[in-house]
Amino acid sequence: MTKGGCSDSEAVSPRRASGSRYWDSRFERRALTLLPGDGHATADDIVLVTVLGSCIATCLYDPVARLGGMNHFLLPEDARRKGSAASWLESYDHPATRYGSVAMERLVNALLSLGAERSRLQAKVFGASRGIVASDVGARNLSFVREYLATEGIPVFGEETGGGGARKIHFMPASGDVYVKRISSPTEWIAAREGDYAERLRDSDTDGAIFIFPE
Amino acid sequence: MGKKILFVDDSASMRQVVGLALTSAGYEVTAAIDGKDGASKLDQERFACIITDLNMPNMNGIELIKAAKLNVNNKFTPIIMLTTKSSDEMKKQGQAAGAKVWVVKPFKPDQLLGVVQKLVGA
Repeated sequence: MTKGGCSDSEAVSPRRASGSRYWDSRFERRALTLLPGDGHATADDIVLVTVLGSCIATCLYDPVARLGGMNHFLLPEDARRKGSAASWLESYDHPATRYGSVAMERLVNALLSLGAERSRLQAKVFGASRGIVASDVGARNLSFVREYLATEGIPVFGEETGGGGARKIHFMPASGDVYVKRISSPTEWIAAREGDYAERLRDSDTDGAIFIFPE
Repeated sequence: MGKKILFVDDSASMRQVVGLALTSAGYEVTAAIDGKDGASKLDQERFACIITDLNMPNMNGIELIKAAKLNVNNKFTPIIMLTTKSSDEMKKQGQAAGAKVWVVKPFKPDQLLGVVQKLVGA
């Protein structure tokens, strides 16, 4: 592999992946860390790394094209229907669901543009811990992603979610393998980072821009 | 009978969301799962409006617009692009192909409905 070569690779979030790149000596691969709000799809044999509390990381993998991608997102607080278990379809009118479905669609589109096929995609879902950001946020994120994947017909091949602590995810997009490590050390910094992220989402404008072309 | 709208998106959840928004506003929606499927529906009838995603397998949204512009039934049908992409370059391509409106996901269903009503009436 050429130095720094990542041509078959696509950042999924509108901005560039904000995490760092480094050499992971344990997995003997180049590594890219994803921060909350990031997503990355690639055919390169690298390792995508992220640390999660109440957020969700979805790993999608195409076993035939041998490529994959991961996102890391949180549904923003939904003030109007807090704690409601309404179907995400019925609640598409709410910023939270709109945001989550776009995070998922961006990842799927990035994979398709690299040569994946929708019908072959397999999912693994991580995160959604209790009590990292607020009590019910993790559960709400989880029910959203489960329902979304079911609607899209993408089977879930693995899930490690819930519980009280944080997790570190290592995803190998070229093989689909995932290693999950429970983090028992203090998780305050993760809570703070996810809290900041939730704050940013609340302030951000999630409404779609409309451009009407002149005649 | 409501006005007929063709909605083309490879995402099943998007088809449900947009289908629900349009049908509850009284429109009649024909859904297609990609550009190729959409193009085949152009031959069957004249639509009041076409709403299409950009990134799709088989045939993408830009190619679908080009097909519509060559289609006897739908040459003059207004077309809305509904996509996560928002770069000026992509928009320019969409405009050149013949799209009238470009809507960036995530969108509010009411926003989309507003655009449709403006183009084709209620």
